[in-house]
Amino acid sequence: MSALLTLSGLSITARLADGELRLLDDVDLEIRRGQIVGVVGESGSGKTTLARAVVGLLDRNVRVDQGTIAVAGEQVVAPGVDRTGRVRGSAVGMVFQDASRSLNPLLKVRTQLAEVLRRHVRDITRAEVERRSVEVLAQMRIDDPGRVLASYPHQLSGGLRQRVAIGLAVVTRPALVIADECTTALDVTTQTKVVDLFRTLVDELGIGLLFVTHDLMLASDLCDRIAVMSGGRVVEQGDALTVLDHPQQEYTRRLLAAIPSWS
Amino acid sequence: MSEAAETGVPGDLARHPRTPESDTPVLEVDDLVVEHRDGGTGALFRAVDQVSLRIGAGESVAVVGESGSGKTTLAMAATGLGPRGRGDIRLLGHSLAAVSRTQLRRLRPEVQVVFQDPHGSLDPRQSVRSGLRELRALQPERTSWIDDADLLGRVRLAPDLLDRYPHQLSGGQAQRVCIARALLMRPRLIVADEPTSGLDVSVQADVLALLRQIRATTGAALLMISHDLAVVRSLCDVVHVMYRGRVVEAGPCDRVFGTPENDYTRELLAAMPGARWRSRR
Ligand SMILES: Nc1ncnc2c1ncn2[C@@H]1O[C@H](COP(=O)(O)OP(=O)(O)OP(=O)(O)O)[C@@H](O)[C@H]1O
Ligand SMILES: Nc1ncnc2c1ncn2[C@@H]1O[C@H](COP(=O)(O)OP(=O)(O)OP(=O)(O)O)[C@@H](O)[C@H]1O
Ligand SMILES: [Mg+2]
Ligand SMILES: [Mg+2]
Repeated sequence: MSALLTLSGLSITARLADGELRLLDDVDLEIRRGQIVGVVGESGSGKTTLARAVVGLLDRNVRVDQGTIAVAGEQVVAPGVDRTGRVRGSAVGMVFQDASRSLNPLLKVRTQLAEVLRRHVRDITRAEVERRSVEVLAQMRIDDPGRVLASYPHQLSGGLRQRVAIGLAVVTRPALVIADECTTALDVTTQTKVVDLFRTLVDELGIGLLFVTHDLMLASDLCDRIAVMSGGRVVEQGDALTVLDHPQQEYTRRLLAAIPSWS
Repeated sequence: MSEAAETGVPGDLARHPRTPESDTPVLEVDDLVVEHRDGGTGALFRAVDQVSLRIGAGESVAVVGESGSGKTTLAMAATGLGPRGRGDIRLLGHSLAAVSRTQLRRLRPEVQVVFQDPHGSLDPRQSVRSGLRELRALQPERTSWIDDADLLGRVRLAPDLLDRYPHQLSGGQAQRVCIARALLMRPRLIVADEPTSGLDVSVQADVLALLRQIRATTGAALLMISHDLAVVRSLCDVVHVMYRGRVVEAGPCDRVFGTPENDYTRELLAAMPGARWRSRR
């Protein structure tokens, strides 16, 4: 029972005006404590669908039609079943692909951090809220947490918004963090620092991290395991460096070959 | 798109050659200073600090740099879409300080911006098709060179996405819709703020090829903001490196990336992902 997240035979379908569309097809995936699992794959392959299924935030026209999701051994998703509300925010933190989904445009960053802290940490004091808010922004390598706390999302650069969104997901110390393309707006030096922080959180607190990215090189730096998606299926998964060293699938080889050469 | 890329024949684009205005730089920015108000203290701070930059017709210029260093602020000021700050900005030969609202509106289709947040920049109540229809109604002649399905094909999207709403698109699909909408207008300047950040390498390669082809055939210039140095190197002639509001280094990509002179540039190069895997090969 050491798995933190287990997806078994998960299939997900969207209803559209002109019929149905399979978004995920029989996906198996597991994350253990202290493990970072990268989900990579081409645009439209189903990475975000997978991530959002875990927190029960699929679109209205999208449903789970086969398989299950369990968090720390407790089944939270099955066809017609959605108990994700019990784990969302407390046991599972989520960083969305578009930061505008993670952040409320009408509230200052300070208010948003305070809200999640009060909701999930019982009897937390005002001073403690402030201390932890500043701390998490500093961990995100934000130089001036004071200004950022006092800002509305639209007053922040794309990369600052993205780091605030990560801060919101990890400030309550959930056991499992789902991060969907959460460093796309960061320059490489900041990205390295944020990714190092993820590694530290995982190693020191033993949390699990599902790291969705289209960047194979980034995944190879950070992840213990990699799952490669294509057309809604996990076509290949295994130890991160092994997958890249010995790709079994034509698709993975093509992805590797398409990486722009540097020299 | 792949068909066009292979033959090098850009559909109907070539049948609409540009009138030669090509000696006028597309964008000139001199000593630009843009200030924002600090949400906490209310004090002004410099987001862009004395930046100068010049983009000739058909040229491709990149701005890279730290998160929060002022790249988006610079791009928005330069295109008249954000606070303009102090300093001289000439867009397609017109000084933004002197240009009237009507003139600016006339320039608008010539300058297309692909914003950093693709989902946020598409109207959530509009399907892809009706969004394109609206653009076509605004500029019937300019946009007649290509039909919707072909346009989506150029960014490697299937035509059945035309009836989707933005929230029914993946991040990379939304990003490509934004690029397609910009290309539809056949602009003289494309400002692209992290246009391929959500795309996997194989789609990215196609989008970059498309941008190159558009440049070659229509002479459109490109101002590209990106943190992906490999993308910048493969697409741009010149790169400006920003750090805390200032351009700390600028020059041809090969020079800046080959023999960087600034410490921050060196840091950026050292931080390129993939070291763990590459070191084993
Ligand atoms: N609500 C929806 N209705 C119909 N189709 C949808 C819906 N949401 C997503 N899709 C489709 O499902 C597929 C998978 O989308 P998803 O967002 O999971 O991809 P992704 O791997 O995250 O891609 P990207 O890297 O571009 O973000 C895409 O083809 C997308 O168009
Ligand atoms: N409307 C605004 N009001 C106040 N401050 C702002 C506003 N817009 C941007 N800023 C601040 O100005 C600075 C520069 O922002 P800008 O968006 O130009 O950075 P950037 O280089 O594009 O960063 P990123 O790579 O993270 O997108 C940041 O500190 C940002 O928080
Ligand atoms: Mg996605
Ligand atoms: Mg920006």
